[in-house]
Amino acid sequence: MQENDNKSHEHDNDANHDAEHEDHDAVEHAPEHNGDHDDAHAHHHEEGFLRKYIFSLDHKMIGKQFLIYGLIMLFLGGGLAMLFRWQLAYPDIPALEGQEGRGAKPLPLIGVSDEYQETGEPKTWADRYWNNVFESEKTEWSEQYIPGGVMTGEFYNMLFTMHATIMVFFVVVPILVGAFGNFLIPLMIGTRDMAFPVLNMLSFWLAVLAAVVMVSGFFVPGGHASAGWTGYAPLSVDPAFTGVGWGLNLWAISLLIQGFSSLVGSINYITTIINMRAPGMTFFRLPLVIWALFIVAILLLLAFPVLSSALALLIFDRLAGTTFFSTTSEGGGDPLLWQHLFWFFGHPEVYILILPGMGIASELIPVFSRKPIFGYRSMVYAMIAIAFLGWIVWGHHMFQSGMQPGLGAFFMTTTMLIAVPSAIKTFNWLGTMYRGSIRFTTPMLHAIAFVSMFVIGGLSGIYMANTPVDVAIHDTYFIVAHIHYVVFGGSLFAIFGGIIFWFPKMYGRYMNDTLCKIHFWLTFIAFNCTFFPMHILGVGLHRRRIDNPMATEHLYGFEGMNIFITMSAFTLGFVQLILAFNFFWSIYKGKVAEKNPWHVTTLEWEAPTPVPHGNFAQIPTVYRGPYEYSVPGEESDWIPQAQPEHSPASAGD
Amino acid sequence: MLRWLPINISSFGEGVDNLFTLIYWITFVVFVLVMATLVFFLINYRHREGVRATYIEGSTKLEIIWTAATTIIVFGLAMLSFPQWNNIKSPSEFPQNPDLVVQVRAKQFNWKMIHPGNDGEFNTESGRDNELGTVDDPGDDLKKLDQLHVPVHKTVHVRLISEDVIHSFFVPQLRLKQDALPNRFFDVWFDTNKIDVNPIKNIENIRSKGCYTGTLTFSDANTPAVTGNIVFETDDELIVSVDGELNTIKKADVEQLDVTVWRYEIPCAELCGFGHSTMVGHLYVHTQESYDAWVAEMQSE
Repeated sequence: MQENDNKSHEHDNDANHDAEHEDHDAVEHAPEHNGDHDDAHAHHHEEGFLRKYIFSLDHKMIGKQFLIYGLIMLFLGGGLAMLFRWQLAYPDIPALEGQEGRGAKPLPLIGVSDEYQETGEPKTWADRYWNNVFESEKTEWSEQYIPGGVMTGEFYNMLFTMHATIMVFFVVVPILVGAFGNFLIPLMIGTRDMAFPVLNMLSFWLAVLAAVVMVSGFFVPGGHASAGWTGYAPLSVDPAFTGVGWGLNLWAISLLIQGFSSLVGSINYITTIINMRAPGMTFFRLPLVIWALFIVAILLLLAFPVLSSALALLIFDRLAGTTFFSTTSEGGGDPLLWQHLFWFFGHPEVYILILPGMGIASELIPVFSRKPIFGYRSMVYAMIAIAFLGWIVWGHHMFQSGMQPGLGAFFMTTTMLIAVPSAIKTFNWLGTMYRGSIRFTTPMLHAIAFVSMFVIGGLSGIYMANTPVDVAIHDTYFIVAHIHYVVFGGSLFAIFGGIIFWFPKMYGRYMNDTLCKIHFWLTFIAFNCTFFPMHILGVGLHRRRIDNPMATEHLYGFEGMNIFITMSAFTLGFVQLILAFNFFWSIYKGKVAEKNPWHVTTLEWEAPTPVPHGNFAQIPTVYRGPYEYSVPGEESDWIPQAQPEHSPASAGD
Repeated sequence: MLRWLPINISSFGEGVDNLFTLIYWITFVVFVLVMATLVFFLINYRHREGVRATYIEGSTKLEIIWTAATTIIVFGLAMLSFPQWNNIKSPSEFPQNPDLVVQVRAKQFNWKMIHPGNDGEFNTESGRDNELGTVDDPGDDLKKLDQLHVPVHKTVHVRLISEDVIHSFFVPQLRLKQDALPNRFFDVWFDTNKIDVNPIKNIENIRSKGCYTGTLTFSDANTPAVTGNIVFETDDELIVSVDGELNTIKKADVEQLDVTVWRYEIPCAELCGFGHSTMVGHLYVHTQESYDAWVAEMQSE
C-alpha cells in the first residue's frame, strides 16, 4: 500500500520534462469529478498474483492480456495460412485427355519422398513420420486429413475456414478493440479505469473461453468447420454436405461466446467514453483513436447480436432439426436468409476491423509530423459516415447470390459512396504531413505503410463494388487481395505501429528499434510480394477457396505465381517471429523508457510510467484539442492537452 | 495487368471489360498521384534541424473539393454501370425469345445439363412438373453430365438450380457468374457472339481462345489434314487427340485451322464442399452443323 502510493506520486522522473509542463501537478482544478475519484481510487492496494495478472480488473492489464491473446492467435492463424499456401504451390496436375497427369503428389518436405513411395525405405524426416503413422494400429489424425502428405479437400477447406475465422474474430478484433481499446480509452480520456471493471474482466475471460472452444474444434472427429468463415447455408447446415459434425457446432458456439465478449466490452467502452471523460475533455477534444473506438463499440453493440441470432438459428438447424436455412425438408427455410443476416453483421464487421487502424494512424501521423491533424472534424465526420454507410452496403457481398438485381444497383451506389469518406481520410493524412517535420520512427513507418496500403485496398474495392465488373471477379483472388490489403495492409500495420508506439507506456521500456526496423521492412516487402500478385490472379479470374488451381485450364499460366506467393507468405510468416521475440524480450530487457518519449500531447502520456493502478495521481483537466503541435509563438513544439492556459498565443482549440 | 484477363466471347462481356479498363485507369491515376504526393511530402518535409512544422489545422475549401470530386467520379461510374448490370442480370431486360433454353442442375460436385428436346419443354413425357423435384425419367430431354452444348452466335437462356448446396455457375470467358440455390430457379442468359468463326491462319494461343475440335490443314500439300480435339498447346506445338490417340503437331507446319467446336470451362465459383476445386464442367460451343450432328447423336442413343 505504502509503496504504491509513493510510486504514483513520484512521476516527475521524466528527464525530458518541459518546464511549462511541470505545473500541471500543482493545478487544483478538478471541479466535481476529482474528489470522489480520488477517494475511491487513490488507495489502491497491492494485489496478489492472481488478481494482478490473471483475473485482473485493471484495464491496462486486461488490455495487455488481450494483446498477448491476439498475438498467440495470430501465429495460429498464420500457421494455418502457410499450410494451405504450401498446398497451392504444389497442386495436383490433372490428366489431359488420353494422358496421365502428375496426380496427387505428396507435398515437399512434409510429404513422403519419391524414394519412399518406390522402395518403402524411409529416407527423410517426413518418411519416417509417415512410416510410423501408416504402421500404427489406430488411424492418426494426420492420416485422415493429409495421408502421406497429400492434402485432402476436406482438410484444405478446414484450413482456410479456420484461418479467416481466427484472424477476424480472434486476432484483429481482440488486438484492435480489446487491447488498444482497453489500454487507451481510460488513459486517453483521463479517468482511472473502465466504467465496469468486472464486466471488463468478464469480456476477456469469455474471449478466452471462446478461443478454447474454437481450438478444441480441431480435435473432434470429423474435423473443424470447413464451410468457409462465411458459413454459407445449406453447406453449413447439414453435416452430410461437409462431413463435419461437432467441429461446425463448436465453431458456431465459439463465435456466440465471442459475440457476448464483444457485447460486454462494447457496452463498457460506450459507457466509459460518454460518462467518464476528464474535466474539459469535450467530444471534439477526444483523440481520433478514441473516436474510432467509440464508433466501433457502437458498431459491435449493434452488429454482433445479428450474427449471434444467425448462429443460434444455425445451431437449431444443425442440432434440433429446424429448417431456418435448410431446404432439404419441407421446412420452408431459405439459404439467402443466412447470407442477409451474416453480411448485415459482416459488413459493419469490416469497418470494426479498419476504423481503429485509421484511429491509430491518425494518432501517429500528427505526432511524428509535429503538426495538428489536418481537418480534425472532417476526420470525425468521415468515420461516422463510414460507420453509417457500413449498415447499408451488405448486399454487395451478394451480387451474384440471386438477390433481386434491382437491389444490386442500390448496393453498388452506397458501396461506391464509401469511397468519399475514405478519400477524405486519406487526403487528410496527406494534408497532415504537408509542411510538417516528419520523423521516420518505426511507428511512423508503420503509419505511412498503413496509409499507402489502405489506398491500394480502398481502390481495389471500387472494382468489386461495380456490379458488372463484380460478375467477373466475384469469388476470385481479387477479393482475397482486397481483404488482405485492408486487414493486413491496413489493420495489422496499424497494430504493429501502435504496439511499438505505446509499448513504452504499457511496459515502461522501449522495443529494440533495430529489430523493429528490420521487422518493418521485411514485413512490408513480403506483404506486398504475397498479396499484390493476388490482384493479378484475380484479373486472371482465379477462383478462391480451391485447393487445386490446376483443376482448370485457364489457370495453367499461374503456377509460377502461386509458388512465388507461397514463398513470400512463408517469409512474411517467419518475419513475424522477429516481432514476437522483440516484444517479449523487450518486456524484460528493453531500454527503460521515460514518461513521454515521443513528446505526445494526449493524456495517456501524463500518467507516470509504468502506469499504476488508478492511472493518474490526480485526474488531469483538459484545456485544448489533442493535436497542438508546432503552435506558432510557443517555444516547445507541443502543448499537452492537460497544460493550463498561460499565454494568449495558445488560446482556443 | 489487364492482359491477364481471359478472352471474352459474350456480347455483354465486352461492356464488362470496358468498365474494368475504365476503373483500372481511374484507380491507376489516383494511386500514382496519391503515392507521388506522399513520397514528395515524405522527402520534402522530412525533419531537419531548426525547421519547424507549419501549424495548419485544415482547409474547408480543400475538404469540399476532394469530397465533391470523389462523389462525382463514383456517381459517374455508377451511372455507367446500371444499364450493363441490368442487361446481364435482370430477366426483364434480357434479350427475349432465346434460341435455346437449357436447364442446369448443380449437385455436389457435378453439373447436370438438360436440353428440352424436340418438344421444347422439360420432362414432358414423365407427366410430372419438375420445377423443384428430381425426375429420373427425362422424356425426350437430352441429358449430359458436365457438358453444356450450345450453337455458336445464338442466345441461350439457362435455368439454374441446385439440388443440394449453393453452387455458382461461372464461365470466365463469358464474364458470367450466377449462384445456384437449392430452392428456386434463376434465369441467366448469354450469347457467344464474340467468337470468331472464320478459319484461323495464325496458330497462336488458340487454346486460350477456346478452339477445340477442328480440322488442321498443312502448308505441305502432301500431309493429310488432321481432324481432332486440340487438348494442349505449348509455344510451338499442339497436342491433338484423334480418336483417343495423341498426336504432336508443330505449329509452324500448320496452314489453317477450321474450328467446329470451341470449349470453355464451367468451374463452380461458390464453396460447395471438399470437391469444390474439381467441380468443373465444360461449355461446348458448336457451329450449327456440328450442333445439329450432336443433337442427332444424342437422340439416337
